[in-house]
Amino acid sequence: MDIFLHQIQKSYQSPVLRGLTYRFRSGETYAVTGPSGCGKTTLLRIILGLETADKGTCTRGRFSAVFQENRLLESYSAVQNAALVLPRREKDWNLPFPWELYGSKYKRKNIAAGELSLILPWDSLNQPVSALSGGMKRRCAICRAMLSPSDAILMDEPFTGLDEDTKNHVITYIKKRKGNRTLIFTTHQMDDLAKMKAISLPLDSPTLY
Amino acid sequence: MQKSRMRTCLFLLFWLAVWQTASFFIDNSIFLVGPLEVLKALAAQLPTLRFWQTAGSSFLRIGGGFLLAFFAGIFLGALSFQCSFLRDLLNPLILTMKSVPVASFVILALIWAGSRNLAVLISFIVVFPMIYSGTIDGLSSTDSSLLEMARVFHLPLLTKIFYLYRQALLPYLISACKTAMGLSFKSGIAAEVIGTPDYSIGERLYMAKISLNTADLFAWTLVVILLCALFERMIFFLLNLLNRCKTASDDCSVLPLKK
Repeated sequence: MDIFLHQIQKSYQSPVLRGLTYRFRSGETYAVTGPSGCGKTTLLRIILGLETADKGTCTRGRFSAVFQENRLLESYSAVQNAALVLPRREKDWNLPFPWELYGSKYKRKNIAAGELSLILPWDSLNQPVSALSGGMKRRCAICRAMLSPSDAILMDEPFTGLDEDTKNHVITYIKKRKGNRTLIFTTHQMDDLAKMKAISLPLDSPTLY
Repeated sequence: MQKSRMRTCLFLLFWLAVWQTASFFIDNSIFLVGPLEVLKALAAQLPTLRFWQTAGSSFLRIGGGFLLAFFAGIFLGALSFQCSFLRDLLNPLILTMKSVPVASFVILALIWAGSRNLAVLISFIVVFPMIYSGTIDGLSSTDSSLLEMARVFHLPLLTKIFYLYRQALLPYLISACKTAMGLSFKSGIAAEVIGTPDYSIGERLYMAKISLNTADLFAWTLVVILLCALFERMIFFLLNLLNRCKTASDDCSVLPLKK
């Protein structure tokens, strides 16, 4: 699904987005870059429908997200957090692997555990999230976003708190698991773009407007 | 833990001794009776059927009023949280319940409904506004960033209630219950003293007043305190059930996958 932004304007005290028009092509990976306060988070929030633009239109759709903060349920385990986003009806799950084999009683939790175990150590899965380290929480949030059936995934600085090795591992996971969904993420580090093979969208560039 | 409990017991014994000595020196069973005489008066009551009927009916009435208010408060509080029209509509009513003295309600209730179920009504009127406001405050304290998360991931309403709202609500509900419980018993008994329905603790307190039987007064007071403590246990058991759901589903069994 393509995501169209048409003449998006948004200002708080000062204008943040000044008539942004852009088209995110289906299945591509985009990196939104720019200095702090240039509207990266605002842009993602507008696409997610959490913020309304002062002017302009934006495609609606089913998105999943990694927020700037992790926004996990701290007293629940990583497995439960991830299992939550599987919709009620199984036919909406849209998973790229044969999940029917997972046994029936704890199907959601087993699927979530299998997914999480790709980037988290096994013994951390059943602990309450509050007991996990910052990097583990981050990976859990990323996993949750990948597991949720969606047309596009939006990630706000997804790699904060991850060391270099883990980050490379997570990037491999994201690329593999993304499938044909659109991926839009924000970052401060330019080498993320190359690693993710992302199309750059520098928000501070004057040629955008 | 063990030590601090010992300390509490020692201090309790100290004050009981003070009480006993004071009553010994005053030596006037109308003005002040000692703890031993209170126990004696209570022991004289215990084997009678009348005692258990009285204690039971007061307990059921006040506890019933509390439970009615508890569920009604949560239900209407949740509705008012969702619908500001209902909140504004109920607001004057809640304020009235909070500010009108219990005694006025008691007399009004006596005129309207008679004394039989007086304690139910009074306990309800005292408890309902607390639970209601606690519910609204608790639900409003739900983490808005988590609510946004729930919106993005299209979590169904029941999931939101279970995982987000319940967590926010419980601490408020527990503290509201703590205050409301003591108050419901105190005002319920006070109402019974005014209305003196048959088979009620209030009636017995009133009788103790008429016959200047201080030992009975103290004995029944002790009974009220014990009943209140019992009720507290029951309510916390209920609240624990609400809280337990968390831990029950928490120890999910993840079956190891074949690699």
